[in-house]
Amino acid sequence: MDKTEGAQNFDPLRTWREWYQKSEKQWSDTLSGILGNDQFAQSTGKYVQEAMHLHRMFTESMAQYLAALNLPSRTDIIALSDRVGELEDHVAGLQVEVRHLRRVLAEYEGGADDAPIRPKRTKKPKESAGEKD
Amino acid sequence: MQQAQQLSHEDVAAKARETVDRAIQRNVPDLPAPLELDLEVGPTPKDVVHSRGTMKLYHYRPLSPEVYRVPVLVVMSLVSRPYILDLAKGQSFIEYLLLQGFDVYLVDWGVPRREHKHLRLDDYVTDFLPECVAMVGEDSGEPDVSMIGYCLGGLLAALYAALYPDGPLKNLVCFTTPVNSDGMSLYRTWTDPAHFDLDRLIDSLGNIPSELMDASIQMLRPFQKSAGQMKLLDNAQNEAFVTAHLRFDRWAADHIPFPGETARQLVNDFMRENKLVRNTFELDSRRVDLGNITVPFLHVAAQHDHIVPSAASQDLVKLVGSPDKSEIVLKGGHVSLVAGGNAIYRLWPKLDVWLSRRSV
Repeated sequence: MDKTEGAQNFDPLRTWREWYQKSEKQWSDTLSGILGNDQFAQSTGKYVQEAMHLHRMFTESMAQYLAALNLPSRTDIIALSDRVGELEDHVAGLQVEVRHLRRVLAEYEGGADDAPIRPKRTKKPKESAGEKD
Repeated sequence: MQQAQQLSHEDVAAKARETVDRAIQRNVPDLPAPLELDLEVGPTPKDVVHSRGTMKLYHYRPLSPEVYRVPVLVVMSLVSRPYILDLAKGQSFIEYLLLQGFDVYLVDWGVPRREHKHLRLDDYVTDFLPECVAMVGEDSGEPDVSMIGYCLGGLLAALYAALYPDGPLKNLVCFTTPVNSDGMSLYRTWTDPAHFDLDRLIDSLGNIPSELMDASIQMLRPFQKSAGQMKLLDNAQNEAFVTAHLRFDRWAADHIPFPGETARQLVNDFMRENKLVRNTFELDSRRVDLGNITVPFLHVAAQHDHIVPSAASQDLVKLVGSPDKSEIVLKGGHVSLVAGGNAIYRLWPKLDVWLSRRSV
């Protein structure tokens, strides 16, 4: 083995990584077995409720601090994101209108140069295409 | 150990330098990186045909001079973003369909905002989907349409097909679609009303936050993500692998919130009471009987799907009333069906054969 090849293969953690990848499914299945029992589900349900309560308390108190510092809170950012989403939806509506008008215009003028090309709907399946399902 | 002994200090230092250089160049955008990470997703050209709220109906520009008569409407899941179906050139389910000569439309439900927390399955199945089907008919000029639904999108498509048996639907393809919650034991345990107060969660938050959706999926197979990172490290010199992996990682981390009322309905009616297989599921005060589906039907499942295990989806073929129905089960996981190498070479050609014969 030459030195270059040796350098390429030199990786003491590679074997461990390969083993981890191969045994990942068994590890995941084992852990899923634990996650799938009622005790875990019960504690998760409790955690989610507590986390929601804490999150609300934290959000409310942080909002006051952030407002005092003239900084936006997560709620402000989400509100902004919602407005951007609304704008995107309106732009999509305009795109639909423009596309429709272009098609009408193309028909009226007997076909505009930049009108979308509509292929013929005459394609037939290949004769050799047999199903093996 | 013998290999290690043959290495000089210079070899080790050179190897370390090379690895560090690559890592730096990948992470510092101003450096002239040898690896140009083009992480643009959804590259196939498309136009918005119809839009309502966050919902968009896209039409992909044909890549073939001649197409099959029946257009295809792809119905995306509510859980994730649709660009997994169009990740990159050469790694795109949509591009594949276009190249085979299908006329492809896609319904993207978008990212629900607080104002959409009231949306229920009824809205998606009896309002939005029929509207999209009508728009596809108007835009394509064809009275028929085939539907391909992925994951929860498959459920929406199947519910639509069951409620509108005399509608324009010509073929139905469902990818890894859950119908029997007995097969989703983890989710069922976690959402058990004895210890999970769903109503309080939804009443407080409105929509289910994307972080919670992501965490619940990660918990189904807790070590998969770290194993994936190690695989990435092992293939750090393989630029094609790194790019594909990062692109996929980007999608996997890009979860979206879930509409609150839809979550309430799914957890109560589907997960807890399993009403679909008991034939008592109702939408818009109408009972949904999957036996009403009589169009040609294909179900595609993954052998190692940990998100929708085969135990949760395999009953769909039995429940559907179509005389022409079949199932393809492939090796792989939930996402590799629509974005993996196995799908490109094995699944998609089978789907092409099945659908093309029924699309004229």
